[in-house]
Amino acid sequence: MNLPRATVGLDIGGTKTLAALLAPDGLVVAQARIATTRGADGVVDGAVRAVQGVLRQAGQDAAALGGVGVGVPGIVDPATGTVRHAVNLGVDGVPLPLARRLADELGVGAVVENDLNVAAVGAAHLLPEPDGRSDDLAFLALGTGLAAGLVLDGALRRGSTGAAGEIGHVPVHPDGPVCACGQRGCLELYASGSAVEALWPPGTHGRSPDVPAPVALFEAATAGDPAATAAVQRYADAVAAAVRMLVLSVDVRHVVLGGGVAQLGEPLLEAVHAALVRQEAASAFVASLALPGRVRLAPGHVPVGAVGAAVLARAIPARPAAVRPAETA
Amino acid sequence: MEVVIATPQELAVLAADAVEALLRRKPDAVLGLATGSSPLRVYDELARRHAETGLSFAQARGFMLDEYVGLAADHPERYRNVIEKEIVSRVGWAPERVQGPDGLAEDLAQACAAYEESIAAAGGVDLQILGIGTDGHIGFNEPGSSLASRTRIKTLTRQTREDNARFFGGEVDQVPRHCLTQGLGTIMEARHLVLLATGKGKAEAVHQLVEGPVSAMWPATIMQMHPHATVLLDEAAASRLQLAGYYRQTYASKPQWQGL
Repeated sequence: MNLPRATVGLDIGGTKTLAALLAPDGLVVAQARIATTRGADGVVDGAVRAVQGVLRQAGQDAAALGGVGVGVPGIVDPATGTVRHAVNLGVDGVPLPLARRLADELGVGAVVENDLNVAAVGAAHLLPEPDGRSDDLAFLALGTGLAAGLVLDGALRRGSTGAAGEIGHVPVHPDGPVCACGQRGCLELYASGSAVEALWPPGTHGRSPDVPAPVALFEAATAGDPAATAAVQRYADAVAAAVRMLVLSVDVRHVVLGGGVAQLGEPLLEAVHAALVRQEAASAFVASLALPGRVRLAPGHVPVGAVGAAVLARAIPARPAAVRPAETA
Repeated sequence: MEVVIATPQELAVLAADAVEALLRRKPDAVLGLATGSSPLRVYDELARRHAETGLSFAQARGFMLDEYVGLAADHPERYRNVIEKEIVSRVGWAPERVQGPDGLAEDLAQACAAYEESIAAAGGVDLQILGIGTDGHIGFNEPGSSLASRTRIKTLTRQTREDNARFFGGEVDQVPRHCLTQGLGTIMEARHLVLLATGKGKAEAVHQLVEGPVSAMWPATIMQMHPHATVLLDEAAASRLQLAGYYRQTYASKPQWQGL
């Protein structure tokens, strides 16, 4: 019998790499963060250093691990652990066999997934359902772009081609501005973190460009600035539209708000709740969906994506004990 | 602040009682661990109770106060290795459940921030064991430390490096110059502080801690602002206390139901 072992998860982003150490009982016991190095070799080397960094805090080395999981922003073949395309990591020409290279470097098995998928798995792990019900949620990432990861009936839903949850590119305003994807008026233009920057550009309204746009916008609204209040409402309406879209498509029990904008915490949740309540008032049908009760914030103080990657690594089968090479006859 | 003056062995039993009561009430408690000579008898007592009465650390978690910067992962004086030897391996604690700051991180500031997040994600420290330096430091918060500080890099004083040279073959130059330490603000968020001090060398620091003005010159004095702080002293460490008689009287007449 193989005893469950600790695993490490990584969430490799364009600027930083987050790591989490998951104890065999599923507890997140340590975390680390380092700057991401771009390019295939940089990504592999950074991943190894991040794993070692989180292990050092516990006085452990990779031999103690059951496996390593990795989330990357890009197109991944989870079956082989190959990153096909990840522009933000500088991996866009030759596919990177990340799982194999990490396994070679660290001597443990590795799995690789898309970053939204690991975030959804991490959210499901950190927000367990009571009464042993299956996890059922969408992790809605309000970042540079807008997309969701899906865990449905307890299983990760990648989609037949990996496109499940890419709701940022559903056009919602046919006459809207042209999106980078070529369509017009995509939801991403209204509900992403970039949309907040468009509504309330950093460095305007008397604020330093160093203050993140969501912080500046919500602070101005709290201070009673009518333009900010209107902008918050407009943004919250767009996030509410994304929530409604996810629930009407797959009827997830929870929609978890994550990504940079979600670091606003309660004020964002309150604004989105208010927007959902406004929409309920206009439609008994929408009201019947009980949308406000489905929305929650991603848990704080933990790197959700890295935790999800560590959860996926638990499924890595134990390696057979090293076989002594047969002596030459 | 409660002050108890007793023999070193009695102090260890009292501290271990507090840890045991916590673990029995809350098996997944978060313990704050200190290195140094002061807590050694406590760890011995906890190891004895684990072996003889089955006191379990299986679900508990531990966070260390501090770590040297730059000591190799396998260096015997690296605090994560010291704590492994002194308590973790002796009480059947899974190593991954006990964390220390990463003194080998390429980005030390990020490592400190991540460490704070780990403590917060664990729900904070329930009981923090502390020692005190001759210059009044707790953790490695040397004189002049911000009373509101968080986990960060600090430069060790000459005094601390000389005090610790005995662990490095008596050579001060072998003692690292920098460390990562939980800040005084971090330590103050622990729900119960239990500080142990023994020996004449600690008497002045103990006097300042208990009876001096709150000041960054004697960083441990911030504990006067903590709602639940226990100071466990032997006779020598208590020898400069002005109100020692009152502390003894208070402890002697303490209600039975009131633990530390």
